[in-house]
Amino acid sequence: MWEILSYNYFQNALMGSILAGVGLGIVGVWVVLLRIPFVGVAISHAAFAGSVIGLLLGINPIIMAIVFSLLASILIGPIAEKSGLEANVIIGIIFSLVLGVAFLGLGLIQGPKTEAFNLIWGSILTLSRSNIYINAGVTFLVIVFLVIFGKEIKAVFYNREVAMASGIPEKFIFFSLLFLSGFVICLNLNTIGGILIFSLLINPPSAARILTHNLSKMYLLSILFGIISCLTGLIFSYLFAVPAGAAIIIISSLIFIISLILRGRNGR
Amino acid sequence: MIKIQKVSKYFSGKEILSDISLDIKKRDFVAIIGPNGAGKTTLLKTINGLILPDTGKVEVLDLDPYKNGLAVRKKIGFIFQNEFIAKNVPLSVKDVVCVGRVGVKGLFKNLTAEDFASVEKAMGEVGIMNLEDRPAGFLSGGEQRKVSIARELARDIEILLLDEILMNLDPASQMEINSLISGIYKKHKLTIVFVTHLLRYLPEEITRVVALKDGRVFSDFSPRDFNSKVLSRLYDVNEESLMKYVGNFKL
Repeated sequence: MWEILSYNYFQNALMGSILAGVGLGIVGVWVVLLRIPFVGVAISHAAFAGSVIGLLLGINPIIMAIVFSLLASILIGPIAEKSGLEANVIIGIIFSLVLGVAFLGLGLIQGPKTEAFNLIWGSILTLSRSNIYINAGVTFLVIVFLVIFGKEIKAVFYNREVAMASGIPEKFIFFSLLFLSGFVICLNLNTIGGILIFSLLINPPSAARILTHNLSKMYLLSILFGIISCLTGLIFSYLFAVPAGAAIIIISSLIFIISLILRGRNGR
Repeated sequence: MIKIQKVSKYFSGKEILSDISLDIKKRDFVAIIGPNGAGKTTLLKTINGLILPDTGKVEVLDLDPYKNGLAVRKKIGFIFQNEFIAKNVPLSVKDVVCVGRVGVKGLFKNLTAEDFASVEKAMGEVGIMNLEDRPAGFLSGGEQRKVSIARELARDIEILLLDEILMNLDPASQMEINSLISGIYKKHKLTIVFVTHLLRYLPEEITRVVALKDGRVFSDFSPRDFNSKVLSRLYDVNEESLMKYVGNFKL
C-alpha cells in the first residue's frame, strides 16, 4: 500500500488535499458566517461557464474558468451594493446567468467537452505540481489576509453596518472576503469538482461552529475537518476504487453528523 | 459640534429629509421624536456620514462626515435600531465590545493592552463584566443593548447617536438603559442625539427636543416648552386621546 506514496500523482493529490482542506476550511468559515453559502455554487458554475466558452473560442479552458469565476466573485459585492439587494440574491442571479451561458456554450461546441466537465466532477489524481504551487500561493495569501485583517473581519461578521459606522473600511474587507473565497473555490475545482465543492465549503465550518462558540477555534476546527475529509476521502478512493470527490464529501458530511451528535450529548 | 444646513435627501424620488437645518452644540442632549418615516434615522446616518445628502451641507467636528468618513466616525458612536447579534456568529461579549476599538485603532495595528483596558473599563461601567465570555448572540435584548453601549464607550468618542435603542425592551430594561445613558452623558461629557418614540421614557437630562415631521423640523424646543399640544399636532391625533395613551408624559 505504501508504495503509492512514491508516485508523483499521489503526492500531488495528497498536497492538493491538504491545501484544499486549509483553504476551503478558512473561506468556508467566511461564507458560513456571512450567510452566503451559495457563493460556492455560483462561482463553481461560473468556472464551468468559463471553461465552456474557452473551448468554444479555442482559449485554454482552465484560464477562462479562472477568469470567469474571479469575475463572478468580484462582481457580487459591488452589484449588491449598487442595487441595494442582499448578496445572496446577486449570487442567485449570477448563478442563473453563468448556467445559461454554460448551456448555451455546450450547445454550440462541436468537439469533445470533457475538459469543461472535469471542472464539474473534479479529478484530484490529475493535479500537476504547478497546480499545487498555485494553490499553495493562494492559500498562503488567504492566511496572510486573515492574520493582517483578523480584527476587521471579526467586526464585519458581527455587523457590517456597525463596522462601517465605527470607522472600519467594511466594504474593502467584505469585497476582499468575497474575492478570496472565489479564488480559493475556483482553484480547488480540479480537486473536488464544481458540484461537490459546495459540501467541502460548508460542512467543515458548520461542524466546527456547532462544537465551539470561539471564532479562533472555529477556524482551526474547520481547517482540521477539511484536511481530515480530504485525506481520508483520498485514501478511501485509493483503497476501494471509488471517486475521490464523492468520498471526500461523504466523509465531511459524516464529520458534520458526528459533531451534531456530540453537541447533543453536551447539551449545548 | 454638528452643523446641518439646508439638508435634503431623496430616496426613490421621495423626499425623506427636506431642507433641514440644525445646530447641535457640544454637550447638547437632543431627543429627536416624530412619526414613523419622518426622517429621524436618515438624519442620524447623515450626521455619521453613512448617507450623503442630495443638497445642503453637514459639518461634524468641523469636517464633512461623508468625505472624511473614517476619521469622523472614529469620534462618533452609533447604536442602531434593531441592532442584534446573530446567533450563528461565534463572538463573545468581550469580542463584540472590542469591535469598538477596531475602528479607532485603524488597519495593520493589533489591539494592545491599553485597548483591552478600555474594553474592560467600558464593560465594568455598564455592568457586564460577568458576561465577558458569554456568547453574545445568546444574550437577552437588554443585555445586548448594554453590550452595544459598552462597545461605543470603549472608543474615544465625543458624540453618541442612539437610534431607538429602547425598542423591544421591557419597561424595567428601558428604565435601566435610560439611566445608563443619563449616567454616561454626565460622566463622559458627550453630545448625545437620542431618537425615540417612547416619550414617557425620555431621560431627564435632555436639553432639547427636536420634532421631525415629513422630513422637516416641525419644532425645536427646550424640554420645558414642549407640551401635549405640540405632540398632538406632531402626530395628528386628538390631544386628549394622545395623553391617555402616552400617560404621565412630562418633560
